[in-house]
Amino acid sequence: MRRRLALRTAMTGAAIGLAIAVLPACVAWKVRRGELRPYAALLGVAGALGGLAVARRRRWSDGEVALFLDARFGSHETITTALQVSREAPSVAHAAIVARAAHVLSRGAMSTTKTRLLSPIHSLAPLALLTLAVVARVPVPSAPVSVAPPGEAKVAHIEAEGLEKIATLARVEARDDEQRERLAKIARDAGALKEKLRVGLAKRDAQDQIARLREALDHERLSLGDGEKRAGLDSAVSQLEHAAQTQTAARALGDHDLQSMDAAMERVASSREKRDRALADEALRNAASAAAQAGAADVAKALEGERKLLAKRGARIDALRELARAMRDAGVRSDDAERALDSLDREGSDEAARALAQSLEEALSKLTPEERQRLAEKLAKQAKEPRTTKSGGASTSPPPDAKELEEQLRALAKDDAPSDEAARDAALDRASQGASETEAAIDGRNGNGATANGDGAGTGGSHDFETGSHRGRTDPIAGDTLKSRAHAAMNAGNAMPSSVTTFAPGRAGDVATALATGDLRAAAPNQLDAVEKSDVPEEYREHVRQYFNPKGTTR
Amino acid sequence: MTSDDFDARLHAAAESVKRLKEAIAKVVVGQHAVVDQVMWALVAGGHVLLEGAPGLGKTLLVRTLSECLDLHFSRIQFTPDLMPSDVVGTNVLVMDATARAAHGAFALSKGPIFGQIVLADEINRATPKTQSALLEAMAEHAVTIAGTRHALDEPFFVLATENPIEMEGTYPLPEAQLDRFLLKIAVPNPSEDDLCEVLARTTGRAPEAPGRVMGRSDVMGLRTMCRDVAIAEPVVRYAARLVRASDPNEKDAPELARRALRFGAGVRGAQSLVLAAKAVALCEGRPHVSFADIAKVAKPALRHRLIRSFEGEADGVETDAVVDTLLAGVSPRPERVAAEGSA
Repeated sequence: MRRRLALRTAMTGAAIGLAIAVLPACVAWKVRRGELRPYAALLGVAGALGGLAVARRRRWSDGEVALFLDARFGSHETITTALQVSREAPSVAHAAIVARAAHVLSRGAMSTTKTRLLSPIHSLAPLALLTLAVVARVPVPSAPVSVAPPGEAKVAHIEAEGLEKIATLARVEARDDEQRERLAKIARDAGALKEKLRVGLAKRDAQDQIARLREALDHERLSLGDGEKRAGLDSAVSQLEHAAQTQTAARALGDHDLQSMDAAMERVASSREKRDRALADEALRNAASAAAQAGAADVAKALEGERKLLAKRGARIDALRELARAMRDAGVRSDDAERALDSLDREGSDEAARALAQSLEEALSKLTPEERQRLAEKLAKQAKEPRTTKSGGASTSPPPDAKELEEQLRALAKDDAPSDEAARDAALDRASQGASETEAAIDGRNGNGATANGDGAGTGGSHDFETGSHRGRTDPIAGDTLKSRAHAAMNAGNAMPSSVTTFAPGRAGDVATALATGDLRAAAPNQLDAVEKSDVPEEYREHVRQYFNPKGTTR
Repeated sequence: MTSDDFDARLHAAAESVKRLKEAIAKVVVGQHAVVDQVMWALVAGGHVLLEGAPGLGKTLLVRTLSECLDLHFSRIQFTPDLMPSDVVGTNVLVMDATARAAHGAFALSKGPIFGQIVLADEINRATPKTQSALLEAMAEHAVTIAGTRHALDEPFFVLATENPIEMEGTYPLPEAQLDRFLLKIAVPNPSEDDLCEVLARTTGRAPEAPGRVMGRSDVMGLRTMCRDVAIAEPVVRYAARLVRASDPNEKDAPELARRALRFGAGVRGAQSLVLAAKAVALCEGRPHVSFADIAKVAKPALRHRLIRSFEGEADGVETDAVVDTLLAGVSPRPERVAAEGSA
């Protein structure tokens, strides 16, 4: 009887376990972990074991069994009493009771002592098993297409080489301590971002940090004469604009385009006319003085540096020209040198000066001993003529021999160092380019225009019913070829171009539901009949015309 | 003595009780339940309070019982002027008429209590003082007269009757005295068939006397055997749970008991339950008590021990209804055994 009770409890536990197992099986199906579904049935085994444990703990005592048997046999608690008296001192009465109990037990059918094996809760077992079987056979739902929210995408394992260009700002010679500190911070931030990109961070954060770096670079580019020193910058620009030789430089300075300004001053230094250089030098001095007076010490310092560079470049160009003239006078003819000299006169660029020096050096190396002798004599004769040195005094140095001349030419052929501001500006340019390259890497583009997917292979659109290969590759485009530098003036005094998109009623009094583009730029402000030529609806033209020109003088 | 001999004694005891009932049935028509309960009290050694309307055969039953038993029978008709000494007896001066001088001595004049089967007819008509005289005898099986204690002959069996209808000029028995009665037997009205039989017997010739069926030793032997009837612990516990459930202050008490009762049955009630149940078992020839025996004696053993509250009295809740509620609410077996056993 106890075994039947234990078995029933175990079956109850198994039924409950199986019923509970339906839930995790459904969950496994829902989360597309189909391979776990059969294991949910193990809960039925666990339930059976739990049921056995409960049955063991709630095992019926002998007294309870006796009571049960008495109830089943209707024996007026004979067995219960016999069980109790059997534990007491033996007596005739007790023996009689035990004998009666034995008689009851022997007379009673064993079938009547069997407890129920099944209970209503056991019906859960087949139902749960059936459900589990169904759940185990139902195909796992396909995974939903998960689209990450904008900016939630992560980027990692990106070797941002462009950030190296920003990090080099730490080695750039700064204008002052404050700028040195700012550049060092930008370089540190770039280094930190590079490390984060290697480890991984949210794409949105990466783009934000790149944007911050860009902002810092732009701010640094405009740092010369900014803020309270803006008046000094404007004064210097005004002084430079007074001289025709420095007007280009003035515009470049106003635009904070210090490389262009340096290039402009280089062209002035290459001018054949020394007067031009003198006027430029004076303009620079006046501009530096005006900047200093207006409190823009950094602008004044930059202009003084440009002035010194002007003198140095002028002396170099003069030396090249004198040598070229001496070689021509000595009968040494070199077409390359002639072309380089013409180019220098025409362009006045550092490249032209360098080309002239190389041409002269090459021509000098081809000279015969006789030609060398004539050149030496010519140079000795020129040396005897009084000439102005770089310092303005008379030169007393002996004429160089051919070997010394070659060395001088080699030195002149070297790159001319730009001004400090131009060098910083160039470094900032490179840093900005590095930021762009890093942005492209974060966005999955590379510098040469290739996509992150590489060969562009894909499955095609939903309307693509035909078979065929979609594989292909766009030829790489050199990133450098896409670069351009805008030389246009940013603040030339003109209004920034703009367009306005508005909703406007088709007729006066209508509801504004029609999309209209009011591109007012199509008509200049002072243009005759500008209102008629604009996109202003006819119904409103008269009102607009009267608003801008109430007296009607334009018509 | 072997177990077979024990069984034979049990069988003989049951048979003797059966013969007694059959003898009584020759005179008393119907009232089998009442006769059974009187038998239980006789075997258990307790006293009985018979309550019923006049003319239902209460006195006849007791008188017939006394005729069937070879015991000394006495009857006390309780009236308001009945004195305790009228019940227990008194010392009287007895003069020696032969002596020259007037010599005399006190001699005990035993009252009707000195019987073995005492019929206390209409006990609630006597004053409490007289009722209490009976109380001592019922409890102690002895009386004290003039400072001298006199033991009563065994078996001492008091059967009191009372009339629940005529309450005018009566003195309801106090709870302490009611508690002395093992059973309070309600005598019901006879059924139609029984009434016809009564009419036939009482309007014709006088019925035949039942004759002696049992003697003193038989009764004492039954009482001894009754005490030897075994009772299992679960059955005792059932009786205890029934009694505790009758306590209105008990948390397991049924709602009716809590509402309608002021006091439940006490220890004497539990003792009465078990003892009467043993008597039932013996009368049925069983050496042990069953749950059914407890349930069978629950009403006569408990109904006079449940003190109704004002609300219970006002609502007319009978104590028998409360006992029925107790029997329905208290399961004899543990719940899980009962659930399996009933299947």
